[in-house]
Amino acid sequence: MKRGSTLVALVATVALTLVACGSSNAAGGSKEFKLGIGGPYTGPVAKTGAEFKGAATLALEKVNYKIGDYKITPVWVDEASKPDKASSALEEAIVSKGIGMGCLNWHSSDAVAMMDVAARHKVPYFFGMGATEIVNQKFKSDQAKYGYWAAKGWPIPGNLATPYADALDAFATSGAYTPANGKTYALWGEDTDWGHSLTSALDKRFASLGWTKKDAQFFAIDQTDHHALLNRFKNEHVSVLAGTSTAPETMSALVKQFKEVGLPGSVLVADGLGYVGEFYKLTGAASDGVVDMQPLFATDAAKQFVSTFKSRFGSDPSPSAAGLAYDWTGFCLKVLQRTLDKTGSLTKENIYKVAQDELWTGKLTYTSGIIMHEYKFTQDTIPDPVIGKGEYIFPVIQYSGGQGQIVFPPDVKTTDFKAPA
Amino acid sequence: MLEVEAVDSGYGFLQVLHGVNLRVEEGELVAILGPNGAGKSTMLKCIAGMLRPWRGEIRFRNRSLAGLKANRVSRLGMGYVSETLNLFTGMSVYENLLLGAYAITDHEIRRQSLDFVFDLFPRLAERRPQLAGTLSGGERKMLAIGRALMGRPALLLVDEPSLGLAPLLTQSVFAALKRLSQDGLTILLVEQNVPGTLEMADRAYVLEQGAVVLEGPARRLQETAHIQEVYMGLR
Amino acid sequence: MSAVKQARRHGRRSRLEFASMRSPVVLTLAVTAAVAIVGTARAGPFIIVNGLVTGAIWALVAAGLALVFGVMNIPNFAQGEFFLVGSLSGYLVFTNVSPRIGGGLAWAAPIITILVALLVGMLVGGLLDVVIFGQMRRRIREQWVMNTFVVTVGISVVMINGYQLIWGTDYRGIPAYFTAPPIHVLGVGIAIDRVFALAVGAVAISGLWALLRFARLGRAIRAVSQDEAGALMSGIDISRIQTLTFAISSGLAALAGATLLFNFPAFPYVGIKPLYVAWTVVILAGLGNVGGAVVAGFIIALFQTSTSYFIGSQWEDVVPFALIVVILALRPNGLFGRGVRGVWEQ
Repeated sequence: MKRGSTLVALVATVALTLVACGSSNAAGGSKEFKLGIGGPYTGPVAKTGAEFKGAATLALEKVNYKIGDYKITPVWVDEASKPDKASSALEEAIVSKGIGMGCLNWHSSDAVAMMDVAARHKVPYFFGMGATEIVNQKFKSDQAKYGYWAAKGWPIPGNLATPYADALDAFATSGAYTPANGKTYALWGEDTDWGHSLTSALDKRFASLGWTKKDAQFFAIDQTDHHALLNRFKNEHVSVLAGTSTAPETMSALVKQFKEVGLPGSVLVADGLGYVGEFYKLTGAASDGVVDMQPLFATDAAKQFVSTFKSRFGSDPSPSAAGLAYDWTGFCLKVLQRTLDKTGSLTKENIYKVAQDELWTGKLTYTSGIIMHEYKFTQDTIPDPVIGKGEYIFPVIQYSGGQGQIVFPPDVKTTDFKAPA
Repeated sequence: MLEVEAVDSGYGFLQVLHGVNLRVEEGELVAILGPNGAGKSTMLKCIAGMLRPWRGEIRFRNRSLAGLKANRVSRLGMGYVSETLNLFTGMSVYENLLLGAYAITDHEIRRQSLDFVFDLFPRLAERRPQLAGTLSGGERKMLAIGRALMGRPALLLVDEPSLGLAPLLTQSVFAALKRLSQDGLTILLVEQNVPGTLEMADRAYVLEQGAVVLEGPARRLQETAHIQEVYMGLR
Repeated sequence: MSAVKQARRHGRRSRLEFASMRSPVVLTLAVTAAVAIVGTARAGPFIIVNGLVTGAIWALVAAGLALVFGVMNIPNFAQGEFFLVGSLSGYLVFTNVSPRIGGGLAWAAPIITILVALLVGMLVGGLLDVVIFGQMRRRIREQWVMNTFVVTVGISVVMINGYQLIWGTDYRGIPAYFTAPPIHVLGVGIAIDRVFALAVGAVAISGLWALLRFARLGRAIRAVSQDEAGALMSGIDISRIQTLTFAISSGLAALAGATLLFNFPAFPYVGIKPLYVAWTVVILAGLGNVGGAVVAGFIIALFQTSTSYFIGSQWEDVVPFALIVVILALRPNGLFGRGVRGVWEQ
């Protein structure tokens, strides 16, 4: 019995050590600033976390881990796709690691939990990508308190996702596409804040353009069997199937099963298929014709980033995870630089002051990114960034052979929309 | 064939056997008698390898059994019918018997053993496809003995064959054991049914409180005052 | 005690008792059949097709769980990670083998893939048993079920994190094993991969059944599960049988993982969903009941599919769970019964 317990204890210890590995790091240097970098480093979307970590590392290397005479040390805050873990990870990073500022996050539900921690310790946190209204509502409910969740890295999906409906309506109007079953749509999504938020935005837009909703279905985030849902939509005779999921295995399964079940003449809008760079290895040709909204690695700097990322980390970065994480980390470093220039020391109070005076007023913007032309916030938009041409914008793309081509809006499109057979 | 020398054993902190010596010669039918809790079953468990002796030695066919697990002991030619029988209740009579011959890979030998067991216990042949768990008490006992015989043992250990059986059934089980013994099988028997056992056995040991208090040929033991007083209610 | 046993033991009372013990089972099977028939009539044959394909795979994973619980009394919470072992070895084998054999032999690549995955799963499982559970069997007698439960959870965490350390978080998947277009049965498109999965499930389950029913090894496995002391007396090396049992169980999970590679790419957390469903299946069937797990696998899959179609996807797990609650209320040991007991309490 005794030796048995020892064995159990040993196994448990090894396990805990392995779990803990992710968050260890060494200190050093005379003036050190600890920067918390959030992300889902473990859990179902750990792949996205890995993209965050890689991108943030490259951004830090670009400034040689230095802002003025400060050495910048990253502290990885693992949100683990669970709100309770996310908030306790942030708590630990603040209390025992002593981070002076936080940067990046992925899930909305985690963001909501982390906001309380940031507010309690008065540590400013920037550019969390948890996007849904709930984050904005909480921010606005008590800005003096939740202002520490200073700026979001991803606008409310409703404000961002409407171009899908605009695009399909425009194609139908121009005759580029004749909806197989009239102007009808069905919505699908993961059963999370994100899934409901995005689909309800799509719903409003489609409805306002005079389309008819046939159905709306939500599923568990790890669902990989969508045959029932797709057969249901098929029997309901729907032209456009629009929805979202953040889990790549879920998404690729749906895309493949869409082809398997066979809905002739229907368009599949799969928002977020491109969240992981290697989606094409999972879907193959089944992703041809699928519509998504993704920023693209378009500029030379962006392409340089892609090849560096691949050679360093051995996997394909996606524009919306690694690309944006790279830019937002760059912006975080710019905030630090500005704070140092203006006040001479990187305290959390000084950083927050700069955020209030300069970031929220549109004075401090970031234009050296690889995804968007300019990242900017104003009093009207906070905590969201300014959306629009030249600012934060996702074009509508259609996949072919694993490559996205912009099909909407017309002034930036690179190819014509291809109607499904 | 079997020598047990100064064996101490027990469970946890509880010592049950205190320096037990006994021996069984080839072809003998030897009985271990004694009251409840005397350590008879514990003794058999030690011999069968189900329980480890604390001290002392057990030799079977001139080979020490020290450190051998029960499955190895069984393969050396020791058949063991435990008090609880340990049948595979969810399997048919036939499968139980086949498992008794698990270590024997020769089909022909297995078939012969099966015929032998069915001949000894015709009831088992009738019940062949029936689940062991659905058998009556007597049939279970026959099946347990049959299963042990399937392994072609040189020595058969039987723990309380009369336990829980009606007198008529006890008689038929005893008759079967007698027949096996007459055919030359060496048998070591644990029993509480003293008169019947002494009728049948060649020699016997009387175990009380974990130690041998009497031993000798069965006929002579029948005559001793101790046996008559304590176990036969005579006098 | 099973219903049959009860019935035979007490001949006179049997009629009533037989009915009361058996009716939830009969009712469940009848409801399942009704759901299948009505579902198919209303929604098309995909309900049955999907129920069969998904059910076959849940049955595979769950049968392994049931086997290990039945024979070793280990509630295995690392079964999902053997699924992962299968996904990974499937991915590595297929992406290397498939480009090398083309033309007329292309169909052989998936078969080689799943066979290798089966072997790797068995090997890893067997090794793990020797290194961990073999040691525990020698030393721990008290609280066996609880201790092994904790250890399997630990193994699961170590395997997930170990995987992440070595292979990272990339999704290693394939678009499909077979490039041919889906076949159409009564207007339902079924990808060849899913036909393949159904076939693999059917063959593996029949194989397992035949092994347990007719083979010497299978008989020994059942013997150990029913009475360890009896098995020892019959000369069966229990520890060896248990190692083999664990290997077979792990192999089945790995086989399922490799077969479903087209739907579940290898990544650290891929095993969580199959584990969760497999436990649901095993609890419904009755812990340790292998045959019951196979039947329950199909029942759960059918209920998932029809719930998802008729009620809505977000209810997919709710309805089967409600079913389980009702069944456990009527039959605490699960649909096909078998009480929980410790290894050493016999």
